[in-house]
Amino acid sequence: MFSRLLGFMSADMAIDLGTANTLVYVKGRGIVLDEPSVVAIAEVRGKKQVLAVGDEAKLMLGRTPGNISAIRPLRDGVIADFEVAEEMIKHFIRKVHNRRGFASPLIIVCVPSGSTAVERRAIQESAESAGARKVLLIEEPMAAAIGAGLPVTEPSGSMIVDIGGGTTEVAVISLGGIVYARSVRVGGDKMDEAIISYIRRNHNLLIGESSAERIKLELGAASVPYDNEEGPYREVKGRDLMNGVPREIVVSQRAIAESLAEPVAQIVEAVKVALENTPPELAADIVDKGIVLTGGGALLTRLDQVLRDATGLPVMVAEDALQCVALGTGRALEEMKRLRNVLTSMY
Amino acid sequence: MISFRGAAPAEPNATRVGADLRTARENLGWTLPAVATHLRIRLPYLEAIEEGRIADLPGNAYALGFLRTYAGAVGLDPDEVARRFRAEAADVNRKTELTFPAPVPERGLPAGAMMLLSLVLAVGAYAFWYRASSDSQPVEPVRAVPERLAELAPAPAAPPVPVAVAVVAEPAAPAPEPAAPAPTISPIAAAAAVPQTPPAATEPAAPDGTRLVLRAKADSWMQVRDRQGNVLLNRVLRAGESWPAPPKLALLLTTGNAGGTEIVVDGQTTAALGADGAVRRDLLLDADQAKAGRLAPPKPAP
Repeated sequence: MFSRLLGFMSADMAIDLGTANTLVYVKGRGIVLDEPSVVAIAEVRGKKQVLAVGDEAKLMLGRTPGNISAIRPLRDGVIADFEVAEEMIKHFIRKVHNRRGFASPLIIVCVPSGSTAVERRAIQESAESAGARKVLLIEEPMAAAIGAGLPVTEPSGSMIVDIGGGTTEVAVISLGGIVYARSVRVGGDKMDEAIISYIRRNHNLLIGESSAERIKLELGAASVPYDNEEGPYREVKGRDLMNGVPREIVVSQRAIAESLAEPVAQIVEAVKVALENTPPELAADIVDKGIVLTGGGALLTRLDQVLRDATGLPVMVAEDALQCVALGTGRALEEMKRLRNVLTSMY
Repeated sequence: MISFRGAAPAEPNATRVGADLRTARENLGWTLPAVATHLRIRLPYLEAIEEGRIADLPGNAYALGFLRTYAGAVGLDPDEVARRFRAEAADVNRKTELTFPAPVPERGLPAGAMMLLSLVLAVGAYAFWYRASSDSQPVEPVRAVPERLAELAPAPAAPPVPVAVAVVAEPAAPAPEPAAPAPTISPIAAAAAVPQTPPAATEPAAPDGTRLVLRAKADSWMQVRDRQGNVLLNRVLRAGESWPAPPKLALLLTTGNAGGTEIVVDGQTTAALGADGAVRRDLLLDADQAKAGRLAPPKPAP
């Protein structure tokens, strides 16, 4: 009763709770918030307090003194640290409403299709304890397909590949439901790790996660340059493992592409397995229309061409690839009556 | 001619973006089949893009995807090309309609219509029962007449029924013989008996001038009207009950039990009106005539 009253004063939200970034869509306003999923916690006299969330906290990542810890509460698309995730959602709700208390919105959160019931429940409960009036869940590939504008309700197969920070979701969708979905825990984070380990192995240089991510965004490619050259260069700084002093080296796109070969191969493999498991009629539709890529990983240079060569199908990157999931979740919020079939709840 | 073609209105299809893509491709020296093989996009779709035939493409999201892929391959900025494509083809801006397949509703009347129909039926049945039951149970006590006499009782508002008509309408009544009075008691005997009969002690106090009193020996229904049709009495008089007739000149009596009805004039009981259960209609209540025994029933025809 009271919560319903509060609901009138609250803006309903759709949250793409991603491993790397959290996007918040507010009903009637669109995407209002796009921040890294990082929380900085300070320990003051044994009590934990939130110091910063989002962009500010990301700057602290890997640069914290002993009493501060910058935490990424999500790993592989699911909640790894329940309390911190709750704090983060609480912060976003407050930020959207521009006030501290008296906000009790309806929240739609997307979950990876491969997540277990326990993981889904954790996401739902953290959103509820963050102050949501009601929490509904939507499967990430479905949200991505809706956000990319695919005709998901038609009796025709659509294949969507959403490459997020923690997971890659491959799904075949028809008649408003997921026919086949496969979720592999490969994404932007695994690519960062691959870059870190490649540089450590080949250059004896230890670099941080943020540096690795920056290199990935600037140089990352799914395949070596066509003309078999080195491609553009970037300098990267870190700690030398041999003598322990900071050092700067220069890496080429070719080197980074080689380092990313393994995660890219895993993504290609996931797509191939999904295609193998697609019913033949839907496979015929996909031959005509192709595969749509969404998520930050889709922006990896030449990934579409690698998938095209591996599958022989048309592959295209969706517009606003980074926002597709949030836009799709937001559309489910706006047209909740019509799209209620895709929304679930753990209760 | 060229100026005329330039002035022609823009076609609804995105032909200009397609032409730009074709130019960019030809500058690179690629053929369309080669591009189709490289991008794995079917040749008819690429041709449709170059010629601006949006209807031939498999849907907005895919059309834009093909366009962006193609633009990127020929070295144009995909976002810029997509923006111009949207500007040229208004259809593409439409959001993909999402209508989930809904189960077909089961056959038969919808629940709402059934509820309404049964409600209407229930109300109708009640109204019918109400009307029927109110017809059989009269509201006015004045109309409480025995069932066997109900047909004799004219409606209160009805005009006075002429004697002849009423008699003709009642075949069970004895045939009218107005010319045969046939008194059973001689007028002299009747006159002599007058002083011998003491006035009944139970007689109610009659209003001044009242000479004639109706008395019931047994339960009998009586109706008294005047010539104008005004009903003065219309009920069952219980045994022993009496009704003093007001001193009006012309009152007509109809009784359902002639044998149980006595007419008392000046304290003297007059001749019997008929047998038990016999019906007499429209007897003129005249004190002198009653005294003379003229109200006695006519003899049945021999």
